[in-house]
Amino acid sequence: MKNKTLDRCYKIAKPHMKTIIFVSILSIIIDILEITKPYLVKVIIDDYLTLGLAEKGFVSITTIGVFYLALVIIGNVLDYISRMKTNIMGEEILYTMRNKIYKYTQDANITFHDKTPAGKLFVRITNDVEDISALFKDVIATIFRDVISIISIIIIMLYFSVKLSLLTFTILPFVIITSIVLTIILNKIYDASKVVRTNINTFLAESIYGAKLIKIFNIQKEKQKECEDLTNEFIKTRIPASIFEGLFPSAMKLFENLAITIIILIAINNWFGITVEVGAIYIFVSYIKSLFEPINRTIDNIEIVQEAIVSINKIYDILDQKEYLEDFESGEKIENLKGKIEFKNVWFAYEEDNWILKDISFTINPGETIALVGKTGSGKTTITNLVNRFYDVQKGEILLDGKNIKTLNKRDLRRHIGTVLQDPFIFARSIKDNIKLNKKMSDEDVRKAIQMASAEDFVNSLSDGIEEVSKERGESYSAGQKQLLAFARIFAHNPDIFILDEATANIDTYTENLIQKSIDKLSAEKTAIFIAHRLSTIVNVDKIIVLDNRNNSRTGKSPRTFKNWWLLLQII
Amino acid sequence: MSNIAVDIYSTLLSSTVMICFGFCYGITILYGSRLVLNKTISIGDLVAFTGYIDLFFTPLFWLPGIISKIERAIISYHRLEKVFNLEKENLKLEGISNNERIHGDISIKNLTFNYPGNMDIILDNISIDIKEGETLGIIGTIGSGKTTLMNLLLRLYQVQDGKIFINNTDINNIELAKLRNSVSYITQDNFLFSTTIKDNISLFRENFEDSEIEESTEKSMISDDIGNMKNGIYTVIGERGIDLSGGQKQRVVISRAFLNKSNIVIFDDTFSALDNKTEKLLLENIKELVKGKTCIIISNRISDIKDANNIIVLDKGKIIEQGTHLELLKNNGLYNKFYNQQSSRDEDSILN
Repeated sequence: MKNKTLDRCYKIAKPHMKTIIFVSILSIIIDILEITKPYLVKVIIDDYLTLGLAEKGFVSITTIGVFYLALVIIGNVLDYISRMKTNIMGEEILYTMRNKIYKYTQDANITFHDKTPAGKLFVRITNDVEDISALFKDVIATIFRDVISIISIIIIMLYFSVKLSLLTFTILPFVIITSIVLTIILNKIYDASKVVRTNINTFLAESIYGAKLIKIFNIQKEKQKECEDLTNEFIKTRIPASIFEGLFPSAMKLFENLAITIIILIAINNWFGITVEVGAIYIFVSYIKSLFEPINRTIDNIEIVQEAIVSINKIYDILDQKEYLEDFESGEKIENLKGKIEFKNVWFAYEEDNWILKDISFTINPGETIALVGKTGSGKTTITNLVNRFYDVQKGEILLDGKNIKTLNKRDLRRHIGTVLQDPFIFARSIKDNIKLNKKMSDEDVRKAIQMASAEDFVNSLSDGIEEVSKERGESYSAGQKQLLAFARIFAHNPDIFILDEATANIDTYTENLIQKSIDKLSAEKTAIFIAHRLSTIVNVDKIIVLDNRNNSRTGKSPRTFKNWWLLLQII
Repeated sequence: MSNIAVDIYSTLLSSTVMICFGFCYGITILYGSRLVLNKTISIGDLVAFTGYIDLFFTPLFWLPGIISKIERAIISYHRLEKVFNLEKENLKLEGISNNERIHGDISIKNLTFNYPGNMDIILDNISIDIKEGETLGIIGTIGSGKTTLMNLLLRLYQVQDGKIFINNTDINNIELAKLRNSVSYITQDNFLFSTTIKDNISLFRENFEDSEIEESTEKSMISDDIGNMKNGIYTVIGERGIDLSGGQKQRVVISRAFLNKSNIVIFDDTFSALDNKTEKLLLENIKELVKGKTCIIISNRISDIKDANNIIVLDKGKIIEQGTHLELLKNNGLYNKFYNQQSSRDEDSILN
């Protein structure tokens, strides 16, 4: 487990190794400069002031002072450079990680999205990525420097007085034990509060999306309570965190002052036979302060490290789920599609053993228009999902032009199939962009598609025409208008296979008839699948495939006689 | 300001503070040494003074961090303030809260409406009267303002005084909570929370028995589907649970109307994903439900609304026809056109 985390950290750090090494070297230099400063003061006190001298040989106090100021400037310039480097590295890591996880969500298949609430993904993409960036920004540089500081200060203290140092260090075991205990406790708390934070985000995303419903049924109070409960739960995890976080600096300050007191008491009373010069006391007190500074900072950093580790693991737990990634590159390219679709003994279940399709077989010949009818929940939409390969079948196979669709290139497959859903998704972009969907086409083509979808009146009534920008999720438009846009999309992309899944449900009869004419024209030579639960939409098809509740399918010619229609009605 | 720019400025600020500190310290030692040598101060004074410089600068070291935190807090506060200052819906304080039950008389008088910030007229001079116990059917072309009209009835958008009345009271004078509680509006977007079916029907209100919820699922023709699920009405649906088909979603949503005891019931194109058989049975149950109540059914299908007491036909925000099914057929207008187109493809006519 630990190794996995380290591996993951290394994976993130690898492209930035140069920066990390550069910053580490800078840190060592800055450290040496920092440590020299108290020594210079000690020299001034012991070698000049106590002796009442202004200069000794060629070196005067002024020379040492100027040297001191030079150290200050060099040290801080280097410090600035090192912090800039780490900050930029942090931003770069934020950028790469965010794009990585976003790309994953785009490449992942529908099963992944079925399983992962959107709110959870938002937390991964926003907060978690920031936690990781903070690790590299605030911690990586200082952590080297602080470790080096601690070691070098200990060595210098030993150099000045072994006895005094050892007596001072008696305080260190307490420091270490306190740190470890508090870290373990905080680790647990952070884990818990992260889970709650994710739940809050999921809740918020959903209630904002469902705001209209909440108003209509006047359940603001119930939702408000749910929000308060979740926030309370979050606060409950944060209160112990604050208590322990607050304990840390106080405990450390206490240890620091204890150590200083010990030094002064020993020096004044000559305990343990130790005699010290005034300058040496000064230097010891300075070094104890300098020793606790990195210790305190390291402890502050522990929170950032903890949070980042949790986030790194959460993000990589997603990124490492390769089984959800869709492969758009491999597979046979589709050049010319005739449009023959065959289902051979197809079995399919979204969840284990809950079979939606049982042993379904049928053939749709190139250029045929067929209707898929059946009760709601009988698996009609499932069939469109399978043809698009949003899911793979468990048993049997689906053939396109005689080739198993699993062997075909996914990108090509979906490019050749155009699906209109009952509830089309409209992006918060212009009408034009919503129809083009990043494909290159002229305004002229877009207008033609709009015309074919009988959406002309609607688009012309908008003050900006095809440039008019929709609100989020197409909220500016009615359900019927969104369906018209979805049709325009399909006409503009002109796929070889059409699938219309209850696509005219919210469209008035008059407009539906107009669209039907366009579809007929376009689908004359193309394969088309109409999904419907009503016979009225399917009178003119070549063939009808009926799915019944027992997950069987029957295929028949479109009935021409009263008797056949009546039989069909009995089935569905 | 970009993140990198913020980083640059705050790092620059803290470096400046550090350099000032170093200079202060260095100069104190330099000048202080002189004073010690002159015997103006003692070595102890000098050491103590450097200690005070330390104390003086410690808070300054925090300054860049504090400043950038304050900056961010101010920006965030202004954003929140913008949200808080948006006009709020007033659920309680405004309007008359008469304790009497809201009856279902609805009257709309010369209502003209455009969405705020958009000059396009969505509804143009609409006048409708519905008496309690009556059913109104609405049919119309795409974007003719059907859903907008319902949104206004529930005050999801503000209308002028003197336009919409329920119970002979201007809806602007009815407590918002009371108004919405007395209307069950089933919208066409099938929004479901990712929680149990039960919570999706009761909408988190705890005053309903399981048996009441099951009864409502029976009426909305979804109980068989739910019966096939392992946990019944406690089955979790949506993002964290199982996926329902379009028609199943629609019927779960319709269950809400059967559970609520509101006096006004609105169905906004909510039968579009149902098959004929289910729809016929469901419409029977709805007729039962709305007995004595006011009902509005919006649909593109004549069969859903032909039994209504009054039907209005909307086109481009205007009522272009109004009357009963038979009256409208005689009118030979858009309604008749819809009827002819639909009946030519209607089941009965296919069978005949």
